[in-house]
Amino acid sequence: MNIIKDKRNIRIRVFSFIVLTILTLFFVAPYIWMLLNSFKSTKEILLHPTNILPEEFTIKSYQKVLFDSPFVYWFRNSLIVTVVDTVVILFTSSIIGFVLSKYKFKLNKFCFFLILATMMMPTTAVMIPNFLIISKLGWYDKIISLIVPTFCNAFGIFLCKQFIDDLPKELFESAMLDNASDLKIFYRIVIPAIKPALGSLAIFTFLGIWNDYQTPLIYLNSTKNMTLPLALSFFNSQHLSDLSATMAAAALIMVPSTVVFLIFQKYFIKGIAMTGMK
Amino acid sequence: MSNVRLENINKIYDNNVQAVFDFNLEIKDREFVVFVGPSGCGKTTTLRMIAGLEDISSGKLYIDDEDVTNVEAKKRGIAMVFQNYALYPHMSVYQNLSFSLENNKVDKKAIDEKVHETAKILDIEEYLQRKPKALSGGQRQRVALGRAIVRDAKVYLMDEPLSNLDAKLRVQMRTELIRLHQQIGATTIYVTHDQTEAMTMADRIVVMNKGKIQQVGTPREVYDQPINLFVASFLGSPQINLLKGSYRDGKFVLASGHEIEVPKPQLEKLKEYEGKPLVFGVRAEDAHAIDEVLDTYPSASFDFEVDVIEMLGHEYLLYGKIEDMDFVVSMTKHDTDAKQRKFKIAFDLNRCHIFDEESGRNILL
Repeated sequence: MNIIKDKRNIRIRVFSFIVLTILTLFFVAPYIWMLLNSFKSTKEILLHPTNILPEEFTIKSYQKVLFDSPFVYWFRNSLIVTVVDTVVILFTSSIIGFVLSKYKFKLNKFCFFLILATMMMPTTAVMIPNFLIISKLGWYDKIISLIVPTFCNAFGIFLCKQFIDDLPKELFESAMLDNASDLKIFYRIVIPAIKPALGSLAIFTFLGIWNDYQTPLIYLNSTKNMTLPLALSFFNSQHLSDLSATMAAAALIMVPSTVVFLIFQKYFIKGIAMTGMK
Repeated sequence: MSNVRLENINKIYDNNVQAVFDFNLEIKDREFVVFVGPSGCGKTTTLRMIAGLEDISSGKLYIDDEDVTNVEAKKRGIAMVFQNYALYPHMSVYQNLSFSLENNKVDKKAIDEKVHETAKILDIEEYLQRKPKALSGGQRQRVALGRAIVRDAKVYLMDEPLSNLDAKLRVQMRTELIRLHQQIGATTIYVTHDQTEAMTMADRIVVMNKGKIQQVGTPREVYDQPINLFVASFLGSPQINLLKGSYRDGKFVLASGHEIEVPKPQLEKLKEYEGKPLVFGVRAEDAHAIDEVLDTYPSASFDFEVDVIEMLGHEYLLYGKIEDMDFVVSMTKHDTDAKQRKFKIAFDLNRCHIFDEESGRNILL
């Protein structure tokens, strides 16, 4: 009986492995194709589109992207916006989530409802009002227009609050009896306890802001102030189409988000499981 | 000196549910007092009011004769051990123990000495660098105790600290707690629903039910002289045998018609209950099969038919019937009658109780 069970298990495992390998190749294939094309010349991409491996391996497109364009400025702009916003959102989400979870005050539920309600608002509906505010503040075509408006994130507040709600109240009572101040309870007790939430929020926020194309498109104009997603169009506009450089730029843009994902991936998976969202 | 005094304490929640009614108690310095009662009786609510984790709706609380009714929890000099220990999961045992001392700006060297001293008392020195998840239930419990001890608090509050442990560990930790209390000598208020814990650990027991104190006394007092039906039923394992009947002409008449001669010293107290419904209470260990008792109390002797025998090692519990009424008798393993299925038993009438069925009051006290 055991031998039959073992044989069946082996067959299931082999079948699963084959299916998962095919699915992985299916999802990873576009990225590999993009990477390989970045080492080809534009001429080769156009003349032999079905070639997988480069006939003539070249790094000229990378040289063009890094040295012949303001890529370094774009990269810097993207990094500043993404890192600053991610750090601030982690702080504001956790502290607001903590206050809403643990402090009893009259408008607590109403405040939380209002915060959640902002998630129901479609971005297109607030595009024009937001643009007018940014304009009036004199922030048009400045990267501050991408940073400050996103300091608070309703989803982040919701995620942190839910996590803090699940912490046993005795933990807080014990810290209170141990003469810990509210701020100390926040950074010594709450923050370490909600690390999974913060980890997944960090990754969602980082990827979301890093890959954001729409907001920079609305608020930025000059080439030097662009962020990376916007800058991709620099290589692929109606007047100029350098496919090889576009592929190289796209490959370079992917590096930080890949690194962040690899570091935080266990929190990412936990985060998806928690929120039920992609 | 660390005495605690509760005067007319009431707790009423926002939805007008009253959890504690007119609670009055004085706890002396170094005393180990246990609040015991069924779930929902208000014992934990009272403990939390003493700790400052719940507001006191009305009444006064004094610690060391100082009114602390409206004083913040952290300023009352209280240390608390929670039911689920509430250890900080991401901190090591050392950090858990030192956390309160750091918050009180104690010198680093002094913290280190105190932590090691406490860890030594509780035999957890080798676990100081571990996180709580790497500890067993008993070890976590010791760390929770250590967090309280390290603070040199005036009063220690414990909310069912043994309830998450297995039976064997619970017995072991009970002894440890008693030993610790003797060693440290701090005023301790302990909450439990387990009457065995209450009986074995307390200097005094406060029996509570439905938010009210039923009786306060030493374990011996509340066990031997229960003030009412609730206390008599709640304390004691197995539960006290309760037989319904009435009093008539110097005799307690059971529902079956059997008449028990009431001892002369008790007659005076029963005069006004002539004809009223009463309950006769006799503990399992106060029903005997030995000739001495059978001869002394012939009116209180019955034929006992055994249904089920529980062998507990040192004693037997015999579940059966007397005159069609359920009854349980406790006998030692040396008593040969324990193996028989039908024999005569008699009640030691000096240790029996008679309760007014309506009010539950013990008439003989």
